[in-house]
Amino acid sequence: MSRYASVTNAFRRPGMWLLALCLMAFGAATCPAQSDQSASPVVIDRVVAVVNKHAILASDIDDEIRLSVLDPELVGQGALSPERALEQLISRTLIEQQIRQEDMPSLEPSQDEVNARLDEIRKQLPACVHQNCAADAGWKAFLAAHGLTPERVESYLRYRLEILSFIEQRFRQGIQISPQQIDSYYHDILLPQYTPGEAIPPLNQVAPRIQEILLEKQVNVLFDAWLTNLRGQGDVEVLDPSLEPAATQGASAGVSPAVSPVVSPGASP
Amino acid sequence: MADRLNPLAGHLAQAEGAPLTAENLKRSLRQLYASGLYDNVEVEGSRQADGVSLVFVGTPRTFIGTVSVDGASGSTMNTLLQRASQLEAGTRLTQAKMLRAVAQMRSTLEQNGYHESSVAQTVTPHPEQQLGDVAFRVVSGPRARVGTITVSGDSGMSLESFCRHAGLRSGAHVDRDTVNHALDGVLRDYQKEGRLEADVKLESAQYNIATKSVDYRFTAIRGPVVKVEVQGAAVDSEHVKRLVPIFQEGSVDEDLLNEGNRRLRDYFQGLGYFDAKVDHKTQSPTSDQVSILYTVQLGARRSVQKVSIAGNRYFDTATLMDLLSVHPAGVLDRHGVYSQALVSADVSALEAVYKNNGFSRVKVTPETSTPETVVADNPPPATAAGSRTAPLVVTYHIAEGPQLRVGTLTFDGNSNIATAKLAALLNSTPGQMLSPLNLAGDHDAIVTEYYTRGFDQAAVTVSQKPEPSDSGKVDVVFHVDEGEQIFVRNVDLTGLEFTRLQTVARAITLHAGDPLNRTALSDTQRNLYNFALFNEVNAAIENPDGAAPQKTVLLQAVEARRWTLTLGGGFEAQTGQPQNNCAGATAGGVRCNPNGKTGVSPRVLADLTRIGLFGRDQSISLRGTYGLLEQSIGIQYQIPHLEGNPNFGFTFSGGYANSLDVSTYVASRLEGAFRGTQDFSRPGSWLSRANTFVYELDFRRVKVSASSLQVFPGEISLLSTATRVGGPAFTWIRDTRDVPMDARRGTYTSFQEFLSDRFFGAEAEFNRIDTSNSSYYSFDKGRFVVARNTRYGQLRAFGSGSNGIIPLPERFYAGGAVSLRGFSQNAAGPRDPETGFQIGGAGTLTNSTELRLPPPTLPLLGNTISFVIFHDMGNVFTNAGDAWASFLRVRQPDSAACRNAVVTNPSGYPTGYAPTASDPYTSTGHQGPCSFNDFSHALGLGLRYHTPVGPIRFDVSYNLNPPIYPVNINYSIPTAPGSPIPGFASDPYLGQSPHINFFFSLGQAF
Repeated sequence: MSRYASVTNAFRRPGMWLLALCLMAFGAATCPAQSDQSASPVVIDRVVAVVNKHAILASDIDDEIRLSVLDPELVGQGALSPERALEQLISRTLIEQQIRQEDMPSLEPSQDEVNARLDEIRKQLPACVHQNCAADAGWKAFLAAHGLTPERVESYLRYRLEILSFIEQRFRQGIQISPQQIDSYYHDILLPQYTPGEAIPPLNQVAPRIQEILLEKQVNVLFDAWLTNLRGQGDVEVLDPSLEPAATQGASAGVSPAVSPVVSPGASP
Repeated sequence: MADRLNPLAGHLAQAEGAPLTAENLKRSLRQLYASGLYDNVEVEGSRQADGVSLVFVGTPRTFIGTVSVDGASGSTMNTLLQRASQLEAGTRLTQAKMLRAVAQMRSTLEQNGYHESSVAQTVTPHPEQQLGDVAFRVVSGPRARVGTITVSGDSGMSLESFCRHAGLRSGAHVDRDTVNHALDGVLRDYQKEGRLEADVKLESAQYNIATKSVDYRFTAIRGPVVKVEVQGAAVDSEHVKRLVPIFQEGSVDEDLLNEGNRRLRDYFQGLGYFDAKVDHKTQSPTSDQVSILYTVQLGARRSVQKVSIAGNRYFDTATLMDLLSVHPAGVLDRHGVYSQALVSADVSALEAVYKNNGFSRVKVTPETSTPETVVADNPPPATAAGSRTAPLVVTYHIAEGPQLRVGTLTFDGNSNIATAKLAALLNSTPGQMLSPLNLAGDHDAIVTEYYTRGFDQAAVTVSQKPEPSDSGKVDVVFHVDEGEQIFVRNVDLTGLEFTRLQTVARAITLHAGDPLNRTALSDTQRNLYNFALFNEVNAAIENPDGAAPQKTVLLQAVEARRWTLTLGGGFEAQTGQPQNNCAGATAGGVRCNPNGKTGVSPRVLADLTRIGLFGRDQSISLRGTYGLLEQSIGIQYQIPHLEGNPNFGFTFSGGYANSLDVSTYVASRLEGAFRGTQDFSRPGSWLSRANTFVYELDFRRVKVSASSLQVFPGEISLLSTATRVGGPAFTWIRDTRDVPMDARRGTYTSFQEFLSDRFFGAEAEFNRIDTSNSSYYSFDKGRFVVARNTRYGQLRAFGSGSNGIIPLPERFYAGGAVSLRGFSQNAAGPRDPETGFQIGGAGTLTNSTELRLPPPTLPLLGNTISFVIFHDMGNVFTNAGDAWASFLRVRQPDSAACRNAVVTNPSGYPTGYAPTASDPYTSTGHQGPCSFNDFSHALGLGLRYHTPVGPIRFDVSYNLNPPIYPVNINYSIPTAPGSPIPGFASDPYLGQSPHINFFFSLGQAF
């Protein structure tokens, strides 16, 4: 949370951000009494960026940082920086706007799909496993520790699944992987990874997985190009100069973690 | 600033007194930012005793106000640069936009040869309106000249040749067309050589600051010579160039070559080779040559014997046949019209008309076959070629399917406009056939209604669902998404430097507090343009993308130049050009004739106008005309919209004119008139907008030059006396023509009443009614037009003595290009009993009828020429009452009296005309024994060359019954010594108007 302080100067003052959090999370009535100093105004929230007329707020960045604990891609990378969080939000907003514009049918995931994903996180996310999230008590403790609620997590997962579904529909269809490409991947990339004497799986055994990897790689390329193009055409404005440098690094660099559409290209079958 | 948000305060998600939630706070912030009024917004909170106090803090956004550019060299450069800046009034003003604007202006300046320009900008803020006026000051600097030219690549020509074709001359000024002209010029030269794949590019244009010149570097690849040949059919090279698109596109690719296949096939099918097949092959015999060979398999030449439609029940066959492009052979078209493309088009047209009438499942199947009679009676040979020579029968089989009808029409989502109000806008009604066209119109009507009420984000979708109880009916639902209603906060009009605000205030139909109605905004813009005081009136909305509940309307006017000088010229050519001042003209070798002479009458005109007089919607102009038929100078003071009322205008005019359009005399006219005009252009007027009333008070002093007057001597003194004419006039005009210059439908009616009375100081007292009606009817899908015009006029003199004489210039005349074409200019009607010159009449009745034919397609001229056949009849009469009595009379009454009036006394001098009791004195003087009370009839043929400003006209007429008249006195012959009267006809003769007349002028006859 210390990085968040850099987003808004008002939050730097001790006690101020606690009031803000109280105000935002629970409402004034439930907050503890503050000292006289806390009676002076404090910035609770503000617009930090605009994506095609959609305002991204400082609280959205905070939300994104808190939700990042649910992202397996970020495990071991430390807390998400506000700049990176903003980058993800910008990309996701662009994608969301495109989804609304293209009006693609049946993108919304079913409750079963959401539940499955939630179950997966509770059972597999290392930080969650550590707190015994599989059990309801552990899960509640985990969420409380990160300032999250079950409703917020569910809506976040629903949203991510919708975006992934869009990417699948938009990019995967129409991509053809030829036998030559599979053969080439098998000989040029996979085989060199095996040490001499190690049992090498035959091509026909790993071909389906290679095809899947190549497909995802191709989706990644198309998706990155599409997003870069979308960002180039769109009107993205970062109002907070402290968030500007990371946000202008280009869309593709920060895209994948935002939506996690694919596995990494070099993954072994 | 805060007042802009007042309407929003009650709509924020985080309401006052409600529990504070993070979600509501976020939504409130987004709502405020979406208003578009702030560059950034934040919310501050502070604890109070009984809750939390929230303060939303924002930095006001600045929007672009006016944009002006000043100082650039060149008459249009400032305007060009303003457009190049792409700064749109009302939109957000940002640093990035300013940088881009300057960069684009610099680029434009460089394209125009100004490479050392400087652009400085000033932004004048208007915080109250959140506007910033942007002013650019440009210093163009020196204009660059063309420097060195280098060409790389395979140009195949010397540098000198390249420069010559490119039009690049070292030292010439650079402008924005320099490069484009250069590229086009060289490419054109290559294309002339058949090098259709030639490629010429500008690699760089480097400005040399020391020499103030631009050094150009081009690459030119001439490419191979492309030869196109057609094998298997004869077609000339011009047709090939027109049909194969590589010549127009200047490049060769497979798509264009395939298009050539199709066009050639259609061309041959149009000639009756319905089975024509075309293919092409491309070869490159040498590296410098590409040969494209189109191979045509013509097949036999056939004709379309019959086109029929089967299976139609809802529409009759004649209606459907009108939609077809495929036609059977006829007298003028030996093979008919047929091609696969046309058949497809016919199928689409038939299906479209059925679908628009509720037959959504209609299926049209074309069938092409040989007629049964041919097969039965005269079976074709067994060979394939033989079977293809038989004529074609094309049948369109229609399976109509069920006709769907509208079940119910309902609305949802409309909360601000009542359902009954929306329903009244619909064309579709329950039970009516289901027409996609009607539904689309209904959709547009609903959306427009919302737009006019300020719901500029309103969206309507139409859904259809079969009615459960009746499969033949479809229930229609209009789903309305109203969006927010936007109101006008203020209307900000800028650009009035000389014009007073009060002058244009009534033109602005949009006011603060009104819903933001884009139709009213367009009306306002049009109203302002109607003043003719502005070159430009731009309308913009401040903060167009923001969701603010109130918006400012920006009207930015650019005043027109206040002084304008207009110069013009023209001419008419005709037989019977009036000849004036004939006295003694024979001595100069000129023969004067009552019928005039064949000639050209040129004219020039000048008009100096000052608009915006006193900052008001008033103008004054000085106009002069100089021509063979008229010379005039006049002044006109005009208030087109009296007291700002768009329907009332006032004009004062005065001037002096010299008219020579009647051979008999030269008239001068000193005149002044007050004129009020009433239009009915506003909705709800008691007359339709086609009507105009004109109320006048006219005064003029008319005088005929005695030396020019060619009437018998006894009347010269009376008719050449200066006479004052004055009184009120009323004119009614009703004009419903579609195109006034070349109408195809509608009518034009005018009625004018003028009373000249001594009460108004007049010396000649008479009443004049002059009325005219034209109507236009088109038929055969608008190809033919029948046009007709009837004019009736009557003059009644009621003065006594000389006041009872109607002055010559006030009488009725007829004849000429826009009148009776059986006569030369103003040559119809009564003539002087001794000289034979026309003296006008007190009544006129004429009728013209034209059949305007469709333009044939001609080589080179295309469809620009058309023909008309016309019949003109009527005449001018001594008394108005004679007009109707003469209607059926086609011969000149008592023509023997005319012949007998040609008399010479034994001494060789004319007898001199002496009025008798049988020749009473009328309001137009003595008429003599010769009567002109008959209807003259003329037939004619006209040619029209159509131009953007109207048709150029050439008419030739043949008068079936031209009148005869005696000529006993000829003033053009010097008066012989001893003659008792001026003018001498040693050989008096019986004159006759010519049978044939021609006229050359601009515009239709009526």
